[in-house]
Amino acid sequence: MSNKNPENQKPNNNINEQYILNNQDPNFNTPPKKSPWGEIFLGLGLSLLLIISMVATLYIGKAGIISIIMFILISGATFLSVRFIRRTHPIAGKILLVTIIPLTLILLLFGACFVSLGGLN
Amino acid sequence: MDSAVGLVKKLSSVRSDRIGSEIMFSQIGFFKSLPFPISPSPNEAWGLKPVLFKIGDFPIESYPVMLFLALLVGIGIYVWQLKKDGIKSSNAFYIALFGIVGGIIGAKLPLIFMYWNEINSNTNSLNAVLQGRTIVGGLIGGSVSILIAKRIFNIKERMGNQLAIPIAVAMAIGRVGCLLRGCCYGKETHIAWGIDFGDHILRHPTQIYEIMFDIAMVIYLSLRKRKGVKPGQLYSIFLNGYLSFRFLLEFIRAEKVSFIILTDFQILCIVGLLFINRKYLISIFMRREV
Repeated sequence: MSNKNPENQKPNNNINEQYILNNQDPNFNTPPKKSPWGEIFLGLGLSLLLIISMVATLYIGKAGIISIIMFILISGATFLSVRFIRRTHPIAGKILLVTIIPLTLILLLFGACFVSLGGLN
Repeated sequence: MDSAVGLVKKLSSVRSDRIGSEIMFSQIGFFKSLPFPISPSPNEAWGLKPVLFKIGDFPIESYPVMLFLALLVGIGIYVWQLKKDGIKSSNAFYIALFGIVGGIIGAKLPLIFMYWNEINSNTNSLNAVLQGRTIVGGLIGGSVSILIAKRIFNIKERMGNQLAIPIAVAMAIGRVGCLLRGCCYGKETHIAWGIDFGDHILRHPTQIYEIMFDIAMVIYLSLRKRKGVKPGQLYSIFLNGYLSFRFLLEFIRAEKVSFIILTDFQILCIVGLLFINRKYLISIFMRREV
């Protein structure tokens, strides 16, 4: 016998249960909405930290060491941002990613071109 | 793209040209002045057309324009390939992202170790930080980065078939930039198609050889894709083809020999080939042991 057949269904005579079912809050089972501001500030904070670390690295003075630290910062930040987006803090991860992409392109891909253009002067 | 010779030239020019240099941040204000001299204006006497055009006094160089175009076209073709193959997974984006970031880092890292003393002896040179990249290192770096990301984020999809053609097209466009700027050139020659890049010596136009190889590769890969391939197979074919071609091309390129008769880039090519074919090599090794 199938339970989907209406003839086999017993009527629910429990008035209390019926009342609860009819007047249930639509958001009863959904978790409370979290404010996005925490994540936005986390993303902005991490981006700022990344930029500050990069500028601080430029003061080391040894070009080879600066480059290697830059690589570590950029690759670490990329992995962190994707981890955030996929797992815990999607908004913070996206903000961090938006900061990393132009920094990577300017510093590592087009950097030399901007310098020779005199764009950093 | 590979601008090892250019890097050494520019490093030596930076060394001698410190007086005319400028400072990144001003002494007044929040920042302490950065001790970085920056050499402005490209050398317009070198290369076929290093400056495309000028907006006022501001030169628009051909190399960055071509590099930017290569990136845009590469991403465009990748997106088109994904649509064509009906792939909508967000993992395709992450694979491309790690490929680009890993590729950019991999492209610069070998040159830093190759010219470690020269780069570090140029203390306080922003040019030394920013100059020089190699596509061989870029390809290896991109592959390694994607592999690590796949392990960490448990990505099962293989995008090699969608990535191979865009990379080949982007590399061909990038080489046009090299040709116009006059880097990555070959050794002296007397053949009819030799090019004078500004020193009145006819040289092998290795950039053109590479562009032709990239175009041939794009045609071959497209035909192969139509016939049907295993997931990720096209990328493996492309890398094997390019690294082998590049290994041979290095014999007519003007690069310093660092090990017996091999240049640094040839050693990188061997490392790359071993890395790509590691599973095949390990399987052969295991069979012999059994």
